[in-house]
Amino acid sequence: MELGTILATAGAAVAVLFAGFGSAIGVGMAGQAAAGVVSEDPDRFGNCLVMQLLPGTQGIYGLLIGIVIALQAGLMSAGGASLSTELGMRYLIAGMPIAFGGFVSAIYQGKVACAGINMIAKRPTESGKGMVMAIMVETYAILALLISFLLVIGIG
Amino acid sequence: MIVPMKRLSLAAMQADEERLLEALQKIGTVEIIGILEDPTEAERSENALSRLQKLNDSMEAIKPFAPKKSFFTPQKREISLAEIRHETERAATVADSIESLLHEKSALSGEREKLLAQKEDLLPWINLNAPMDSIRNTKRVSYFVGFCAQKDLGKLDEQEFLEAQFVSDGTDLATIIACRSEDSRVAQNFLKSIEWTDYAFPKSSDTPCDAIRKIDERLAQIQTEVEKIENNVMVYSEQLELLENAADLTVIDLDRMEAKHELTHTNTAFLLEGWVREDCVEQTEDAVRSVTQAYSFEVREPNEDEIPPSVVKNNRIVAPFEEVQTLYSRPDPYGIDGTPYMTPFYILLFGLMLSDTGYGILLALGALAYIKIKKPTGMSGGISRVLAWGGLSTAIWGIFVGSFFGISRTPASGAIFDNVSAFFDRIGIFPVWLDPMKDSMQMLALCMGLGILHMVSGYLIKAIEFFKRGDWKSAIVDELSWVMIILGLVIGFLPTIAGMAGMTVNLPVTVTQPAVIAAGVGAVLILLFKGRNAPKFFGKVTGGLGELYNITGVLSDVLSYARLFALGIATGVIGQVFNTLCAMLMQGKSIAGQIVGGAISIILLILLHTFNLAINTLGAFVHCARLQYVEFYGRFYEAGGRAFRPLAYNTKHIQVTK
Repeated sequence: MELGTILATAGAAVAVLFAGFGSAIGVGMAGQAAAGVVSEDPDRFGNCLVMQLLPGTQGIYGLLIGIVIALQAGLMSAGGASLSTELGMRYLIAGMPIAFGGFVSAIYQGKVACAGINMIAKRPTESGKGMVMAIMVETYAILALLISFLLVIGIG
Repeated sequence: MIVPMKRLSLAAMQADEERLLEALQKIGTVEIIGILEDPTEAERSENALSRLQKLNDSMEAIKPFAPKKSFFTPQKREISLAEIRHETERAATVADSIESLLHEKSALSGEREKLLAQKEDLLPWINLNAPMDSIRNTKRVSYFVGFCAQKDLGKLDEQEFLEAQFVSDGTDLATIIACRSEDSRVAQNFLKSIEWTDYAFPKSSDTPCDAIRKIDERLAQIQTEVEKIENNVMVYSEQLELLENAADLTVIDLDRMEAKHELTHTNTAFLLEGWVREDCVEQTEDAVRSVTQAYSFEVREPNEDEIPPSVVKNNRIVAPFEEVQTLYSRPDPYGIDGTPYMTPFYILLFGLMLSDTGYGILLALGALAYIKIKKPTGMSGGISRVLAWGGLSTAIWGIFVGSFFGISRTPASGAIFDNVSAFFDRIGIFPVWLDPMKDSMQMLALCMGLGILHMVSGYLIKAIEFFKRGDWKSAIVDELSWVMIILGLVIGFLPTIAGMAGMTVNLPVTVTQPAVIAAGVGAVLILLFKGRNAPKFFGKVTGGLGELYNITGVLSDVLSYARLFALGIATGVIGQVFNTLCAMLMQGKSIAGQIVGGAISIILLILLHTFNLAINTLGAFVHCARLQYVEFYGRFYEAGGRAFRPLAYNTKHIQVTK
């Protein structure tokens, strides 16, 4: 198998892996906080669930880039593609922004979501504000997704 | 628009007070301002409070057993106050019965806790085969009962005058020590020197083993009694609606009682001070007149030091978006209501973020069905209407970018999906404008172009507001100068920017040159006049420079609109990926495989697309809100109004029919 194909596979894997790691950590933290609040006041479940979901999007962005890389590089076709080392390297690097942008932003978004969930416990009517604060962090995952996407599409 | 508020002073006879407040509460147009507190009224409201507490406790107890409300029942049932008042007696009886059952239950659980603690205490002694009260000092023998640490066993054995018997094992051994009465003092001192904890048996003629057995029997008995009580509570679960009605009525009455504290009373009359919406003054006076003729009703403009609550009023299309604005902050009562300006942008940008015709139709229909069936009010009512509009916009954008449940005109997923693509291709509707996968730079340019339009509108709204206030200097220097800079730069360099995105745009020099000049004029305006209000020369100079440096902020705000594109592809591409996965399942080698795969993939498709729609709707909702709050409202909005809280029916479970 060509080294390029292996590198492209690594690019797809890294994008899904790290963005997924981050989201798992973020959603996990937020889930713990949410369970605490819901144990006191079960009616808050809906609001808390939405907050818990917010750090989960990075994992989806990672999956998106992973699949786009796989499709574009022909990794999913039977027999496997054969890519030059340079091309494979480009796919690997194109996966990096969402891998690490997603990883770090999901963790921090999870922390903001935790704080937002605590806010829901004290002031249930202000849950929208907590959501907007958490979304501010996600901006950077979206920027990373955008660049990863453009880079992959750009390889053509 | 912002509704102007009036100060109301209403004076009337005390004999009419209750009926007047009832009438005002019914129309819900007056917010009462508290002046003095009347302690006798506080007592009456305490009664109502304890009644409410009792109702809430009972509701909490029977709620788990109550029949589940079907999806088709509205959020709040419609009922008149008279109907509820008719049933308050019955509700009170039910609540009393439930509460006495709950009391019994809590007494039993208290006893259970105590018994469990006793059992825990006795467990180490379970091997002692003597009645517990037989171990007590006699004339000749003294007993010591307690726990001895394992490491001190040796020391205990060394004592000749003691006879020790160990009942349990472990690190702390349950131990009974006997000695002659005359040695008891010595024994006591010895026990102090080792690790020894005294223990006293409960007064009982049973052996520990028997005592534990009796405790277990009683525990089982308690368990059955608790179950019996729970069954009795469950019988009342049918009465949940009755209690909910009564609780809401109590809250309504309580609000009125609390309003009474806030009134000023003389011997025979009372004075009510409050806020009333300008457009509701007449309605309010009519309500007063319907109760009594003996009143004085005066409204006036608020004084400078009186800050009115902030109320906005809009037409039916815009009104739901007030909830999006409220999530940020209510407008300053003397500022601008941003809702009418934000609404078209919200609908436009929301649709671009989801941009899938299938999802859009589903979202719009779902939201409409929710509104029709659940009749939501307040925040959830507003947001479901916002989503209905967003769904419509999503469906239209989906046509422009060519996506229907992730299927586009170019075959991508395989199996049946390619047939759908071919069908779209044949009727020629998809994509009529831009394919984000191929024309990503154009798509990005579109998003940022919309962003620039959005931001420039923000500056213009503020400029118009300044002109209205007669402050033309601020309008030109602070706002229009930025419009000139932004639009001038964009138009002036459009051919260059478009070239970078791989497009060719030709503008004649007669257009680009004046545009660049306009941008320059804007910059000069800012440099020269921005610091005009600074007291010193130094401040005048740096003020302009500092403001001009904000161009970096404007630039990053424009880039922030790239999220429109990114979220758009996130929806479309993920949808397409789900289709591709299911297409693989459908293409089984044998007929049986194809049937099974097809059945599984239909279920999967429904689940996966629902998930994709839900998570991306959430994303579109909040990201679109963020674009409004930061990039748009940041340019003109004055936040910080407080909510208008009129005396009205603040109910949780019912909608009062008038």
